[in-house]
Amino acid sequence: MTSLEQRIRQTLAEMADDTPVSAAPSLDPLRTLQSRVDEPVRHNGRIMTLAVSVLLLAAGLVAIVVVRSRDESGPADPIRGLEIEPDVVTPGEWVTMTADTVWRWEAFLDRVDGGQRERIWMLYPASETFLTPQPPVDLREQPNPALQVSRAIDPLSTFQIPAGVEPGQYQICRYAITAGHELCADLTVRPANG
Amino acid sequence: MEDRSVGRAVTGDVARPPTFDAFFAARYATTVRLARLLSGSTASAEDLAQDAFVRVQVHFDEVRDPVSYLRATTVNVCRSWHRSREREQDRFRRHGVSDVASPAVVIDEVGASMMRLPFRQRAVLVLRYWADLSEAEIADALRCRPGTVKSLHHRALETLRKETQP
Repeated sequence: MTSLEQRIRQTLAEMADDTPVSAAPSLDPLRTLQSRVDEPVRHNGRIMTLAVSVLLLAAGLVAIVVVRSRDESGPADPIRGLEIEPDVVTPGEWVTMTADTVWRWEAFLDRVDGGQRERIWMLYPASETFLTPQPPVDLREQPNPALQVSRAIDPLSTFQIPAGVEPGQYQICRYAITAGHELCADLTVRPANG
Repeated sequence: MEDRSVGRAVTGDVARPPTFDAFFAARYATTVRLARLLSGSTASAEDLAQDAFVRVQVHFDEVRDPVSYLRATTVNVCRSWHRSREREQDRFRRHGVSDVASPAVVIDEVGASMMRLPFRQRAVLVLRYWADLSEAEIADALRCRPGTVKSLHHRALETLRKETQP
């Protein structure tokens, strides 16, 4: 083994040892989700998988063309499927969301105006500034302990709508691991004194 | 170094974990570390590892070697994350935000160079020098031919040699 290879081995070992690992989380939320899957669906899964694969292949080709054509005008419409409570808030209020899925920890606030979508805020990890239109952007990979947001494999979490958000129509969006795409919910932000 | 003592069912030298719970508990920390080395992100490593376990859990009773399956799944999950992160960076750049990703925490110059390698080259180094896998096992994890692994390994070492040696 060359000296470079030894350095690679040593560096990787140090980086791995340096990785913080919390206790393995509970698997209960995952089981709760899976128990909702009907048994017949599981048994017929292989045939369904083949059929769905063919359909997805065709749909994928169409989607590639559509996504490419939309790429210049903005992100494609996400899929609704997230439940939030309440769905009408004033800036600074808290929103609790649930979904039958397992999601990543990021959550975004998108402004929806006249068919246009603009991603303006990362709700979690907490961001001090708007994503757009101006930098600087602070997307530190630091969980905000005040939010107590659950990590993946947890279907429930709560976010505070930032105080600087202007009244209007918004969507909260999260990437759902088990769905493979973003799920969104409509949100109306009213003036604080309205 | 990766803990390879659990669940090598394919060779039969160690018993397969009887339940997914036991497998999850035994492999969780190792998988988080693998995800961190592949992604370069400490913050996302646990999410990526959990993502991999969610996928493995569905097929746990069917696969002969859950450890290899988990490893390949973790590589896949990290590769997808890497791609989506690149697309996200492109979107942010279009909005005039230059760099919103938190920099990877690296140990030294070699670590920094490894984080700049293309995903598959980095994965080969991680699986070869941290997980101590053979060429065939790496090929299995990356879903490619052993010859491709050899080529990726060679190119990765060449790049690191140029970047780290005067």
